[in-house]
Amino acid sequence: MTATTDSARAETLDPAGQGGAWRHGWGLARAHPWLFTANIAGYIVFYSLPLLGGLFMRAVFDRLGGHARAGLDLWTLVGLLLGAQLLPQLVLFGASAAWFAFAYAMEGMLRRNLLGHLVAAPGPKSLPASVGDMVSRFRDDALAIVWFVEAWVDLSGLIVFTIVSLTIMASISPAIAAVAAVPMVLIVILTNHLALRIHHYRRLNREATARVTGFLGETFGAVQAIQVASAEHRILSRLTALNDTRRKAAVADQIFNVMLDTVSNNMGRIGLGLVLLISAGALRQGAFTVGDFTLFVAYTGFASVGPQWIGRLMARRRTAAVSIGRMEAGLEGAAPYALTAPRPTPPPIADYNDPLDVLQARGLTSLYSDTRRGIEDVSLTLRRGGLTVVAGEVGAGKTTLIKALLGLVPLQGGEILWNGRPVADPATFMIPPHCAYTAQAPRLFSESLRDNLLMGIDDDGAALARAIRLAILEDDLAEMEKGLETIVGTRGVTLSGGQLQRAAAARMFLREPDLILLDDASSALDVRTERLFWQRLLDGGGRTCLAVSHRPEAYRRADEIILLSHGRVAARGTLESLLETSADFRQTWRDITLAGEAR
Amino acid sequence: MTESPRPRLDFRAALAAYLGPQKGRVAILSLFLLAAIGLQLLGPLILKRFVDNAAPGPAALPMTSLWALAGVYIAAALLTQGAQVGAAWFSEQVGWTATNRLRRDLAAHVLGLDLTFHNARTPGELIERVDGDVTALATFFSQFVMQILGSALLLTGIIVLITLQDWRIGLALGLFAILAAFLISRTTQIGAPRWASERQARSDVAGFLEERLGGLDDIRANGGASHVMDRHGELTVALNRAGRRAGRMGLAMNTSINALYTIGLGISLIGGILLFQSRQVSLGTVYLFVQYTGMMANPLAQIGMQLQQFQSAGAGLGRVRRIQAISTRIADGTGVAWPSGPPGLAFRHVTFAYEGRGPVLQDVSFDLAAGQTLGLLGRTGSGKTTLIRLLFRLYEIGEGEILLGGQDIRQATLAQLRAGIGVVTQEVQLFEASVRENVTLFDPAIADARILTVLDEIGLGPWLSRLPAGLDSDLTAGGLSAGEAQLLAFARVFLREPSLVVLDEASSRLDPATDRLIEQAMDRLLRPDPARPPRTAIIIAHKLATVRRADRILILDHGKVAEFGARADLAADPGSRFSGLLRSGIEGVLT
Repeated sequence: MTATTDSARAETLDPAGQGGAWRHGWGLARAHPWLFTANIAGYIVFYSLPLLGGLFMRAVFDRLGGHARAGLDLWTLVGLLLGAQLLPQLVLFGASAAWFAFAYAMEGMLRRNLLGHLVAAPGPKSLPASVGDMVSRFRDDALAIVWFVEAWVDLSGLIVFTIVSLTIMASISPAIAAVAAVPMVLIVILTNHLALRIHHYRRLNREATARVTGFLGETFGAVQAIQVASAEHRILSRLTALNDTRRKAAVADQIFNVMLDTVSNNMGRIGLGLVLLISAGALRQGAFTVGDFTLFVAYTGFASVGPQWIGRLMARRRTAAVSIGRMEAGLEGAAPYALTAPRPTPPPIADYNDPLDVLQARGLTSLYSDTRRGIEDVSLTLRRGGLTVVAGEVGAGKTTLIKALLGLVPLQGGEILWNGRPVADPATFMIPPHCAYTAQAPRLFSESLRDNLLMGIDDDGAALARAIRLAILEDDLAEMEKGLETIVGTRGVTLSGGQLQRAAAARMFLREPDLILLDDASSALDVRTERLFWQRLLDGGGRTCLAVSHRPEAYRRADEIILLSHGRVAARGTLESLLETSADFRQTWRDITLAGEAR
Repeated sequence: MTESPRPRLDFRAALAAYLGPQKGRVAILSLFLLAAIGLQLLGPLILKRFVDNAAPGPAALPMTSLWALAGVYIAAALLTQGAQVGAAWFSEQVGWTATNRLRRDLAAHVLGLDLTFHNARTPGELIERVDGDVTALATFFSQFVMQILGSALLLTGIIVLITLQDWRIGLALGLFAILAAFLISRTTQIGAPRWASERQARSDVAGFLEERLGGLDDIRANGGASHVMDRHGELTVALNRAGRRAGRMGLAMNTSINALYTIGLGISLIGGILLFQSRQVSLGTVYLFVQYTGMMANPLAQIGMQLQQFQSAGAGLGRVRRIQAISTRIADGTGVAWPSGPPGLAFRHVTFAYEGRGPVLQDVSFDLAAGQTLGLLGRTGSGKTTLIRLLFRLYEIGEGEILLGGQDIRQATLAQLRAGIGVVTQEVQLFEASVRENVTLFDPAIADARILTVLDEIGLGPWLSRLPAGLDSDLTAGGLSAGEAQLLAFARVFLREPSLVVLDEASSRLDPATDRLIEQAMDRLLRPDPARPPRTAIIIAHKLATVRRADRILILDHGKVAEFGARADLAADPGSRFSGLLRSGIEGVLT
């Protein structure tokens, strides 16, 4: 959350950014030194060749007009002129190929660094925006940063062209050259001004776009709910409203970009008009030849491109600064410039040399800033081979407790001790083989069931079979035509709720962790399956387990039950002792076992 | 639900369907465009006069005329600016209005497709289809007129003006332009599939990211980071390869266009010089040829560049069309007249299998009288959820029929059918929108007072009072627990007042205290008015406590009806599966 507000503040305080975009661009370039150099060199050559074309054009027309200069004959000059026309295109072919290689490499690197941080970096990670919005940051914002670097490449060639062309023109007629240079200054000023506006409208456009994609993502993730509620037309009216906002923003954005492009072109034409005005006298006096005139027309016509790219560069820098801010919002806790660091965050490898004897948590506090909900001052001790069950009503903090132990939510206080030694960063320590987890609503991905379970682990067959047995998934697999090769649909929807939970449990068991964290993972299981689940889990021996559950079976087998209420521990003990001492717990137990009493 | 028949989307049909309603804007756009082109054509004519008449000689114009020419040149530049911005504004408006309509139509189409379609696609992939591909099309809509038509007009103008100077050069350049345009359009066809694979690779990345970002906790806590990064690496390599292949094709096209342009320049320069040497044209005319040929480079390159966009638009349109071509397997019914009051429900020999999988339901038959509650039991994977999905016609049944209120559900319109059934599923889908919009699913017709009453009844009153802006609060801003989300799903059903209620494992994730809230809410939901008959209901639950309220019990086993009967009868029969289940449930409590 802090990252978003920080970047928002940076944006309002300093709409131009603090040169961060330059450094990020440089980071991207430095990571690909050869591609970058090839691009710069290629585009310098590409933009310099038209200089030759202008000189040959001048020679041809001077010869035709009777002002012979060089010793070359007319048709040789025509040949050279046509050659100078063709050559840049061949150079461009090579330069652009290098550009495509460079651009896709940069884009991939930006995505890799952000994704790497989200899945692998220390500390709790939360997405600063909806998943759909995040996808647009990975896609559109990464491209905006790449386009900034594109402007460097083009501009490097254009600067060379501009300097040389001005020098040549000045050597022919300093006065007319000076007039030709006037609009170039104006273009820079105008484009700079426009670029400021573009920055504003581009941001509005991006925000409006993100709202559309975010909404589409939510919609397509909720198709079933929408269909059963017949809410299609209402969803579509909302989409229409969001579309409309986006259209207005996009048109404004685009218009300013068109102005940026056309203003410089037409300023170039005005420059040419000024050249006409000034050169008319010189032409009349014969001090200025037709050949000179054609050279000035050629160079002045192209001279607007350089200043135009300066304007474009400024515009793209601002856009890139916004995009960098949006991507960096997901890089909370990372080193500065991690977005364009040459090496991504390496995936954490838990240094496993200390099998679990006892895990202690002392005074864990983790509150959501806006609602003040979560857990406060929760302590617990898990001993090897023991089962601890967390009980409590909705919003009591059960899931937060599990997530706090895993380092998935930020801690405001408390510490976690593994065999008495403090865990510095739970997020990168409480992972396999120390620990593994099955969420309340676990996520599987659109891959084969096998890939989902293995998630990168080398398969030796036996381990997979063991995990599947532990998760009681054998029967389901036997019924699937393709067994483990069954392609799991989006978010696992082709599986039933119970199958999904057990597949996620199998994924967890496969990691053979010392400590197992289950967040209500048996909720979709029927009574028999659930009994079998606990039996297999606990009778294997050696597995330490912390589980959120509302099931009598779990309570009965628990070594300790922790009853949470409003984020604090309300009572703790074994089933028998709690039934004796805690009125709250007796109520809970009555509710759970209501089925029996109802008979 | 009935949508007008969708337009067949080839380019011409797409233009007609989406630009047709904007005739006025298109007309103004054309005017601006023509003005801009005319002004551009004026420039070289002025330069010609300068070359011919500025130098001392018999044709020399007075200095004031030369200055006037320069003034006209500058004025034309200023007017061009205005015309170009005006044309851009109208073309963007036209383009965005058209593509927004396409986005909406496409979203409507996709939303109307059954779950067989959706299960095979990630939301991220569909975002690419509905937004990414259409954005590529937006360029087509907004730039096509501007660039391709504009460029074609400019080219024609140039040829005509050159022909006026000398018909031989005009003819040669005209033939050249036609040849160039032909070659360009041919190369386009080669490139389209490559851009299609680039877009596919891009949407693979988006789909991958969408899913992984949604499951970040699962990945992190189970040590899946390196696997995810490896997969991302593979997808990135695939995208790079596809993009570079597509880019190279575009470059080859660009280079050939410019090589063609060099030929054009050769024609006009050599032809012009020969004519000049035989004193048929002036030096200024030679320069005019060169200038106009130079002006051909831009529209030719523009056409090339736009055709590149056109390629990706073509690829996008192809994919849009493929999506449009997928029709739901669920044919809408013609509508039925249901009597008011709760309906009876009957399944008759219903058999169903998901695509490519074994049967999930086999010959399922049962009867539920109006106002009765059915308790649906069975192991996970026994077909309970599927049975409910069939009732909503989220999938089409294979064999047999489902009767609601005595009528085959296929006769009813989908809207009619679904309006009559309310469901609470285990997974609650929330939107990044206000609490009000989430509870009403964006229905503005529901009054706040009613929403407040329902939220209060269901026990979400205290939760709501904690939110900063009440119903206007952003739902995702406050931490919403799974149980509260479940209660919210209940509120959605309450507001809809269905005559048949389905609770799909609704209470499985709730803690006992919330369960009590739900039980009370359920009482009201099943029987809103004690004076009138209760609603018909199906409750799926693994917990026997929830089954208490059932009149009938249906136990599914491997997709078949294992047991069906009145709850009281089954409970009393010691040989029944149901009584066995009751015993195993109680057993634990007693020991």
